[in-house]
Amino acid sequence: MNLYEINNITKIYGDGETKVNALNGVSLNIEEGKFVVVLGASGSGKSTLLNILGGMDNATSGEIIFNGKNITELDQRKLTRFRKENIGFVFQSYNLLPNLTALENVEFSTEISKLPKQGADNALAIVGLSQRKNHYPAELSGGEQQRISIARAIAKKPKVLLCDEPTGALDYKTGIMVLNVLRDINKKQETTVVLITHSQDIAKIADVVIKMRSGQILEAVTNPTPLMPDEVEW
Amino acid sequence: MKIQNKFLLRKIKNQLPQLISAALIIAIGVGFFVTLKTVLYQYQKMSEIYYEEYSLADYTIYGVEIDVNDVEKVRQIDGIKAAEGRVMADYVSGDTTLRTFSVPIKEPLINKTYFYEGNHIKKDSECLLLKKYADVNELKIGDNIELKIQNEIHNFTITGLVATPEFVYLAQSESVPMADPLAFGVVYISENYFKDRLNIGYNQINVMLHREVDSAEVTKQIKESLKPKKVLYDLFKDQQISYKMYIEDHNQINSFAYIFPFIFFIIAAMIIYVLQKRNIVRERKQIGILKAMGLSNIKIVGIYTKYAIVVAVLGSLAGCLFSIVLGDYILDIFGEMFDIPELIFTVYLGLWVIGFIIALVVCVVSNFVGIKKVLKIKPAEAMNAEKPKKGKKILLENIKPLWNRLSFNTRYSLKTSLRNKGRFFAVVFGMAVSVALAVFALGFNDSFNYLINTHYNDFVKYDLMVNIKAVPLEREIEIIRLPGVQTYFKSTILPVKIEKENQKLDYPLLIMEDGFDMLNLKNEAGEKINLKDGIALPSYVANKLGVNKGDKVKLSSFGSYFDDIEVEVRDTTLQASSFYIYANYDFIEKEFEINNMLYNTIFIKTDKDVKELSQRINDGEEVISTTSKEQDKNTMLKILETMSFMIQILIIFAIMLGIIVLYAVGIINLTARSYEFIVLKVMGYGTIDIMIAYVKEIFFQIVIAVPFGFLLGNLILQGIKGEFSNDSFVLIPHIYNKSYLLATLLLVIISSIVLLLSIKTINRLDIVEGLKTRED
Ligand SMILES: Nc1ncnc2c1ncn2[C@@H]1O[C@H](COP(=O)(O)OP(=O)(O)O)[C@@H](O)[C@H]1O
Ligand SMILES: [Mg+2]
Repeated sequence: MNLYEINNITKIYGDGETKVNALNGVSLNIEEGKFVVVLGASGSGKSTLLNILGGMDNATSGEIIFNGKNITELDQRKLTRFRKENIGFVFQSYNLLPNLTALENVEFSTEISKLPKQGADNALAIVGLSQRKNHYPAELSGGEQQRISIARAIAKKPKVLLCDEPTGALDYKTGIMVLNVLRDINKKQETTVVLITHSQDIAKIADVVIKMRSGQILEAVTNPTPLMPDEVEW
Repeated sequence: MKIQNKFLLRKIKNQLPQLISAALIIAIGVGFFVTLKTVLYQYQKMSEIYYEEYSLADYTIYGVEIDVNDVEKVRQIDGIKAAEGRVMADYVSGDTTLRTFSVPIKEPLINKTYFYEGNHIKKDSECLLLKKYADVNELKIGDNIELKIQNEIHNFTITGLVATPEFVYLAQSESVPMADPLAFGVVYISENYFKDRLNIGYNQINVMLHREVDSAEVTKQIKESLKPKKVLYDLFKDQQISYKMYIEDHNQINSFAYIFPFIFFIIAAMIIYVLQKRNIVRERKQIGILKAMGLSNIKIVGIYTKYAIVVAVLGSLAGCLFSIVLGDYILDIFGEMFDIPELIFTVYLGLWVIGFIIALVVCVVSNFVGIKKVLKIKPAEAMNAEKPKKGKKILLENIKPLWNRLSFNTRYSLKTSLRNKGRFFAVVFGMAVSVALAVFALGFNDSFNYLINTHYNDFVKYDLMVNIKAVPLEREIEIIRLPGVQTYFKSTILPVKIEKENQKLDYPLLIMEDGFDMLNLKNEAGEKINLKDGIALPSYVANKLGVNKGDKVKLSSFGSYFDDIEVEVRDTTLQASSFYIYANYDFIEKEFEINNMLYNTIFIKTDKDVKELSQRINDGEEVISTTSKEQDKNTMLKILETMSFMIQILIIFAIMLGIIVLYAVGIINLTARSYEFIVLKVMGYGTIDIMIAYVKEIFFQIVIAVPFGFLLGNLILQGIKGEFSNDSFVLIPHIYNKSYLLATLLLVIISSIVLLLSIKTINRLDIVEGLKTRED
């Protein structure tokens, strides 16, 4: 079954001289439960696409069906609700709230979604950071912060996890650790994962690889033999 | 606890100094408002109760040789609840004057006395004494006082120390609205003593009216019933000096209760606005995350609003508690100025609630204006670091030759200070208001000081004014032959009503001899006033009546001296106090066809000791009372002194305000620039250099703020002057240069303190940490 059905969306930033066509007619289906990697050079429109998928931004034209529901024309209030109920985000910069501890950061997400709090502990266990839960972001390494931010995203059991270059700021070893966590979540919780990267190597762990250039999709390739993150080198 | 609340608490903890600053300013605003309103309510309530319970007369009529039958006739008139005859006379006691009233042995029904101590008189040889006078003259119950009545000394034993609603203010006359209790007091002796021993009849009737009666009609009937006896003068309650002063003070305090809190609330609103605006810029990314996580706009606005509510709650609570201390202090001082029994501080919870609601509205609204951009933040964009703002060119940069001559430090200072105009002008405004408060407070003091000094040095030229029993103008009396009398002028002072269209005012008419120079009567052009074939008015009175030179006005003298008459206003005089209507004998004799003019006042200049002369004059047979210029001046200076507490409070507020605003906005500025400072530090720019740039910025702000402060201070003084002008004196704003200087100095000192405080913050900036934490 398709989680996303995307029909010919465009995104134009600005107007006149500063006009940028960030997306130029993107059509694509994303199947539920898959690990999808979007691959492309910097500036090719990956983040723009991901933001629109996550309901953080509206497309200029085109249509997006999520789980059978059209989300193209939702207003800000409805988009907020859509994000709250369906989407987990992981960013390249971890974007934790600096004034809250690891656990509180995760709990905040369950609180917003009105879910039971034990989800937060569980999520921390999944990313393997239960023992650091009372530390503040400033006291954690980059990899740890990123795993907390993954825990925050999955604590509310979203339908889909959208990750914008989650390993972009990490070294090789910690990057692998983060990818392992994401892969596990995808397999064990059956959460659909859409991950952005500009690395050919990371793309090897995907079920489906979508290649982008200049706001357009070059091809969408199904990978019959995805590698385990440990087997990847970059 | 909910994470949202934890989030809020940590935010508060991180910005404690700013939060406290905003709360403090709210506290000052609420505190000032609640204090003054409480003082006002309490003052009003206690005085109204006092006037009511102790039956201040609704109406008083003055005449001569009124007897019991007259009073009985008045009592029979419809609409009259009570009427009582009374004797009122001023007698000398030692070197003081005592206003003496008669009281029945069975206690009066009108203008009752409040007993601080002791009991009502039981015998004719006993008296009641005003406690205020007794205290300063060290008299107690059981002591004797001597009154010089008809050139004989009469002794009375004090049985009670009292207050009376007639003398909430110790008002001796229009020109001495607040007498010095060392020199003037009130005494009550028995009615029988006047009747049997002194053979003096009533000279006034006090009347209480029923609630819904036509007072004009009733008073007409009263005058009718007394005929053919002459009515000299009549007064309604609201014309009674002490009561009039009460109403005036009431309005003065009220105007203060609004003007100043208003200013403080504006400043608090500004601080909250600047603070929150800065906060959402700083926390743009956090807000983006919250939005990405699905937190709605309302919830996010809610978090910031709670922050503002915390400020409102803390601020108004502190303000209300503060009002207990300040209110108590002010009422204590009131107690020295006004004689109102049981005037003590009480809390009015309703005012606390109003104060809180005002604070809440101010905080929540200014908060919302500050953060409304939150609504527009798009999570997708907020995730990206904000693009650095394009450095805007400032005006000065276009003047190339000048700009290029400036040092890097100065150019940097100018550019950074103007980059955020909101913060820059918040500081300028805070400074300006500080200066304005100081200028106003000092200028208020100056204006009174100036008024008193110019009035008594330049306008009043006599040393003594002697009130005597009326004698024919040709007759000279003994006292003028006393050694020390250098020059003197005879004159007649009569109470009159002056009327133009529907405006009626009571002022004494001063009829003078040619060449009279005891008052320096000049018109606007600086020439001696013209009294040929007409009268002259103080310009304050002329304005109040709406008359100009050449207009006709009606004079009436209560039927006793002359009939109502139309006269021309020939001139107006420039003066700040001691208001009379002026005329000369020639005009009055001709116009009123009087040929046996009497005089009742002698103005005297002396080259000897005033006090000694005044005592010798008081021994004179015809003398009723004397007032000296020196005494009047001291009384005025004393009033000024009692008001100085208000000036001190305002100055303290000005200082607090300045420190708080500069410090709060200063911290916001420093945190906003900390990244920039760190970069400068990395480049090898030291704390000193940064401080120098900062000093330049503050100097720049002071230069802009000071003139505005002067202007604003003047405006407040102008705005409030009406409330402080009355029928006794006109407040003319006059601020001494030294006050301007002092206000500026105050600001410079405050700025220096704040600068010193910020050195610590700049020094503490940690380069390594700082470069890392740019994000939040
Ligand atoms: N808020 C924006 N305003 C204007 N242009 C933007 C904005 N966001 C992205 N762009 C432009 O859109 C294009 C695609 O950007 P983005 O989706 O971030 O690419 P990627 O994530 O693949 O690096 C780029 O040319 C970028 O400059
Ligand atoms: Mg990107």
